[in-house]
Amino acid sequence: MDTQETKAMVDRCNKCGLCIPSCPVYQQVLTEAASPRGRVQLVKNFLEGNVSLSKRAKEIILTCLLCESCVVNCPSGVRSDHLFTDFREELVKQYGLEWKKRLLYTLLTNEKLLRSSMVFAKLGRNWLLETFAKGMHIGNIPAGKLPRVNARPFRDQFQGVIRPEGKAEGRVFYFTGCFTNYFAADVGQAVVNILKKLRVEIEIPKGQDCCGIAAILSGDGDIPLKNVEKNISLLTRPEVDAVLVDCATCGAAFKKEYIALLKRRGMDTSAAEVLKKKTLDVMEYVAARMEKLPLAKNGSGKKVRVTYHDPCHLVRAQGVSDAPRKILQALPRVEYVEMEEAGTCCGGGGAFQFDFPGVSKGITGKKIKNIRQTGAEVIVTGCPGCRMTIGGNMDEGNPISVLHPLQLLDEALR
Amino acid sequence: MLSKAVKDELKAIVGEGRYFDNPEDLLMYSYDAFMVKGMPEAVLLPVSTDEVSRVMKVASREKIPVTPRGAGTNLTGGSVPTRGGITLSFTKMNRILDIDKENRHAVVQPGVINMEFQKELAKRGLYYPPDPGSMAVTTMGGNVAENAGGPRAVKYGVTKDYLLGLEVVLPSGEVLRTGGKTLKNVTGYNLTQLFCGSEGTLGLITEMTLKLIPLPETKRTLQAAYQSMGDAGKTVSKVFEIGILPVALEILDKTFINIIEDYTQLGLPREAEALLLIEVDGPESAVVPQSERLTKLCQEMGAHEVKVAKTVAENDEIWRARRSAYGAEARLRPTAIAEDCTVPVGNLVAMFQEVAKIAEKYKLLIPVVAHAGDGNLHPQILTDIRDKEEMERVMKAIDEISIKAVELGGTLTGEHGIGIAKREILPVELGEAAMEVTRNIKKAFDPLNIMNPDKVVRIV
Repeated sequence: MDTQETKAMVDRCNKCGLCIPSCPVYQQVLTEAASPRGRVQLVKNFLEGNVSLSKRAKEIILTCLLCESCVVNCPSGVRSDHLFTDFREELVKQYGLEWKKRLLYTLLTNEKLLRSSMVFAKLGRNWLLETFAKGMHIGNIPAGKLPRVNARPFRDQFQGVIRPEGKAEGRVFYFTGCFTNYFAADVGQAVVNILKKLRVEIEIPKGQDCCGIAAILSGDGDIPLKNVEKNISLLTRPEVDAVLVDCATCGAAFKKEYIALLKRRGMDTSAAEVLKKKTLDVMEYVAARMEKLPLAKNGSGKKVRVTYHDPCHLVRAQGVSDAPRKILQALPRVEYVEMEEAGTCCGGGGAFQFDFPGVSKGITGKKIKNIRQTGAEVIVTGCPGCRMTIGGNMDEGNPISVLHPLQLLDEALR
Repeated sequence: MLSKAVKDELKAIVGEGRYFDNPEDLLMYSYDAFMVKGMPEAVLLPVSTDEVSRVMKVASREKIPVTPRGAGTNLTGGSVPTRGGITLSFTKMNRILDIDKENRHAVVQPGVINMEFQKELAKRGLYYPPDPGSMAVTTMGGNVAENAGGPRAVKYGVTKDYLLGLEVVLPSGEVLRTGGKTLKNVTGYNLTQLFCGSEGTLGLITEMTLKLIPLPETKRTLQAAYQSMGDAGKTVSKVFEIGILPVALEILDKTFINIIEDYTQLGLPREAEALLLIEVDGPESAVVPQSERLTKLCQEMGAHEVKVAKTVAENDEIWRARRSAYGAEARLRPTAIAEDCTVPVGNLVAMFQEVAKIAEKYKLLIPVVAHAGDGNLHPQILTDIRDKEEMERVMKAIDEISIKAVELGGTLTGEHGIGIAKREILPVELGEAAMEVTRNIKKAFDPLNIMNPDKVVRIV
């Protein structure tokens, strides 16, 4: 990371501190080391040779959700998220990844292994979840609240291109991501149903691999590099109009992290740029075509109160916040209510919740309080990670349903 | 150097988790928003007056320098520990202790964030006007210690105008109460105001009682573009002459207008020499005719383009230009030094011209934004701290700008403080008699010179 570009980036930080108040980690911990400015200054001092890759330096850099609040609040345009990911790569070079993370990322990025482990998981052995739920202390999420494995992988249900009735009005790739494929077939089904009603041809390309973002953001870009290259070449075929994703994080990988990863390695980014241009969150695609859907103007009967949480990887990494609201507000039986701080991180942050369960719990608690204050019966969000964190931390007594926004749209179209 | 025994003693006061002496965490408290750095030897985050007092007893017994710190947004180096020692960070001592609607005051701890405080008050229809640029992050303790200002000072004044009483821990560890809860209070010397703006050199503020006012019903913002800075400057005086007291009156110069437009594409008038922003507040029935009257005035005074916000969202849109100023400039050069000279409003245009002359003389890029309504200019010296030759010119320019302000009947600093940045030129404005009194006050409170030493005045 010792490049001119990185050095110029850290020098841009004039230590004004305007990144600090929006940092969810800082709000919990209240020390400079837990602030974005502190982390940027740590990176700067590392580059200047004043601090080493110590255990404490590692802890400071990992105590970050990579939620990008600091990035959008920086008047000087410091890409602190890139600085921190770069630094995490240095840490992995020095310390390696912890075995559990290494195993998990290897598993995720190897489709065959992942598939077979899911078979085991479904057969009731559940060794994957047992190992990781206990070993990695997903302490905040009780094992019983972890998502159930799909009866069969979602992608297995489809062969070839899914054609709508009548003349098709376009062709899209649907990148399902691991989560929809193995855990959330209902989300995948909603996406397919809606796209069919929009009369587009849907191809769920065979051979799509885990986007790899979990490993990338943990600082190990080597494990997922094969996936990155494979996904790029698979998804940039010219005859397809758009690559749709239903997962905020996969979308952030395609629109942002792939390019950053390849750049870090001095590799060609031109194909990744093409993928970036083609990628859309499926909600962006649908929101732009709402008038084509046969929705009733006014619903009869009692309305369901719904609120929306902005995932970091949608609102900041991709700048998507209007689309889901537009969809929800068009639903005849939905009363949409905005929550306080809808754009604040849920506290999950990938590996963050395993590494720092205490801090994570505080942030999630605040999110759930804001959700509850709206009086909503359903909380929707476009990120499986957020759904898992929010759902997993919801108290047993009075649970609120946690869904993807398109599941509500699909229901309204039935 | 702090001995192991002293470190253990300090650690025992606040406990694990609120005491740090490892290099990475010390580094985190070695800077603020100014360009000077200095490493502390121990960082403590107290949560009570008692803890602060016990730390100070150890510090005075061992003669350890102590640097107080809020959010670390100081622009003059006030929170940088230049002599090592202890840094006391107040970010965890952050409770709002009382909001008393009936008696219109609030009691807060030093780590409460200005903006958070404002939000709590707004829920109750109350208002605490001081709004320093960093209000989203700055702490109330820091605001009082620096006597922070902000754009709203034109109508509402600055921090000192809302201060009723304080609890202070003296360098000896003794706890002192000043002022009280009432608006009127002439009992004894005004120690409250002595601590306000003392920049942490006399004692540590551990609690403050603040005056509150009713939250204004609504506000309106205007933006007027001028072909001449002189006309914009004259408008500022005229606004008061026609009997309107605006909340804020801000001017951006041509360099700034263009830097901001490059960055934001807000559609600002690039050809204008000056952009004047005016905000009025009060009941709807008052702000509407006032904004109409102001529009007419700006046009009469030569503005070629006037925009008036009709909604709160449009207010924000106009303020976006002003708020983007520092971000926009940061993209031009790696280092921006915010100057803070202040002159009587009548000399505002003259000061703008002096800054332009100094910029030309030293071949520097110095865009200027000003809280024009109170004569407080923020010339932004854009440079690169690694460029030694240029930095020499910068330092000369800074001193010349500040001294010129004093010559024009103004002051070295309106709201950023003296800190380390302006310590050497302090005598220019104070004169020898006031310097002597200042040093004697410092010695009276801090005979051992351990309380944020080297800031404001140096005691030899």
